[in-house]
Amino acid sequence: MRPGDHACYAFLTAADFRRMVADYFSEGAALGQQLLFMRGRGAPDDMVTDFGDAGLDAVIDLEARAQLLIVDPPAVDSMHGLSAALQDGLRMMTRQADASGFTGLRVAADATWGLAVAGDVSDVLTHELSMDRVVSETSATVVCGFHRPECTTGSIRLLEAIHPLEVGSDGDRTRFHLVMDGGDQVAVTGEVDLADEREFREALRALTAVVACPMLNLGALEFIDVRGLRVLADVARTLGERDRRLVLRHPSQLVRTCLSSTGLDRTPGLVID
Amino acid sequence: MPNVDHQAGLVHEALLYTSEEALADQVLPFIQEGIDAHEPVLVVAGPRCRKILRSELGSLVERLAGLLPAEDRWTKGSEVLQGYALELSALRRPGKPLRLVGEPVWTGWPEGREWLRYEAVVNHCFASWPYYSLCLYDRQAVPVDVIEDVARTHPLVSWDGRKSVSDRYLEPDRFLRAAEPTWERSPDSAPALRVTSFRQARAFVSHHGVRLGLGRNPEALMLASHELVANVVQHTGDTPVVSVWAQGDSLVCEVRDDGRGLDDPYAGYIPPRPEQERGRGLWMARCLADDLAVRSSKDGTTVRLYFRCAHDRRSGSWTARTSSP
Repeated sequence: MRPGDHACYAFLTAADFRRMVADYFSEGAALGQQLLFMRGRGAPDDMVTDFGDAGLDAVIDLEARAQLLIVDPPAVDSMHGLSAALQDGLRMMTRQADASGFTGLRVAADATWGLAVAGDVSDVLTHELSMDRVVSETSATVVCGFHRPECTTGSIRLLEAIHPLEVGSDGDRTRFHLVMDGGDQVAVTGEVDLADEREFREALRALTAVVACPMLNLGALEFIDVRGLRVLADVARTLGERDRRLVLRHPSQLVRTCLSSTGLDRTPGLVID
Repeated sequence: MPNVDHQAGLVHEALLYTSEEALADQVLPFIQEGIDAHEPVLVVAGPRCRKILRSELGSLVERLAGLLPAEDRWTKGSEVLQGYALELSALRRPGKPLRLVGEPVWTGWPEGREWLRYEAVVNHCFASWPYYSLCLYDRQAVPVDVIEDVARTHPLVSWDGRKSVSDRYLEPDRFLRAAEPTWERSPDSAPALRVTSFRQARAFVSHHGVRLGLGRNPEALMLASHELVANVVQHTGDTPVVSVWAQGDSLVCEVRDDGRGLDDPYAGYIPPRPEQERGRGLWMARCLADDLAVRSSKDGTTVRLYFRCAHDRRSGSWTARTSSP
């Protein structure tokens, strides 16, 4: 993984997650990065031993250096406050890592509990999309872990769809990806069809909570069906009602044809660039 | 008796003219009447007709809602229908009927016969509109078999200035059925797939589309067939069977289900309204394919998409006409 990467890992057991994180941290340690682990709420205090058992002690001296930090999640119980605290925290920790002479910051977090705080997966999506901007801005490397047995399949599919990368997906993932691409730019890639219609709608709805007038880059989108286009039009209409808009950039000739022949191109709030 | 009062609903008349004078003699009073009654009058015609009307109308041209070129306007019959629906909607005023003078310049084109079906659909989908559609046909230029279909799709026909009820007029659903491509038996060797995922179906269709000469651009075929598959899955919960074969210079892609059947003879022929919840898939498929035919009974529905393969001289490859940019 490279600086600025933001990945999602839906893990089956805590041991799986620790092993993955130990490998991921070993790679970061070799690059001279500071390593930050944010444990889940109610996780055991002494995780240094666990990481040692998972093989991280072969790479760094876990006790002697401050290269590995293990922190608790912020004690905030509203999703909005929590999201702000996590974004600020990431900015601050990146600056500190830099000031301490590390080449960057590598973060892993067990974020499962965030789903419980939010209550609604769309708030977590909004948070993750906001976080994605901060990750790009700070050039940190971030892995968000979610304990699969505690999450619904739908939540995992959505979380994977809006993370630029995912680790160890079970294959039942959405065929599209919706990824922040700097500023108001959002890249939609892969394939959108009625199998993922609900997730596509959810992801876009979360996006509109983060970006006022999203510019969706469809240049690398491989396929979108008429139901997918309908979702884009619905989202645009809702934005249009609030004097906002949805911009479609680089749609293929076929997408343009479909939008005009279905009349969806005339949806208020939809701009085809 | 067909409707002749366009205040009460659609009047759809074919005007078959034999000379420029005859054309002017018949069209001018129609336009003048509309202007006098403050009805919006729109003219969409080919270059020759436009020239004649422009010179005959003189300053009255300014009072038209538009004098628009028909020749570069459309690439599909469905676009003609949708285009008129949009333009006429924009001109509609409460309590005011509309007049259109339209010249279907595409009648002599190879795809023109398919487009004529939309002339039939006009009778159905604009039936309640206060709208007079006067369609101009040059008897010298339009092929005889097309003239026959004009009489079958227009309730009123004017020959040499004499307006009469078309005795050959067919109800639009009957015309549509009669004008569909001939339904040939699918070859036993045609590869077939029972769909288990949308993605797999698209890959299957794309693979065979390329193999059978659709070139490197199977996207339109992939999307059109996907819309048919998606309709089956969504509306019947059934798993359709998709097959692909070559027939003449066309590629045929068939999507078959065992559902309850499709009752609506106009399915996919009517432009979708923006607020419409569903019913875009079949319209989309009709827009994307060169032609589409439906066979339906209580034992299920079979839809066939036809894509013409045409040789692209520039790239030296065979590409589908509709998928070129």
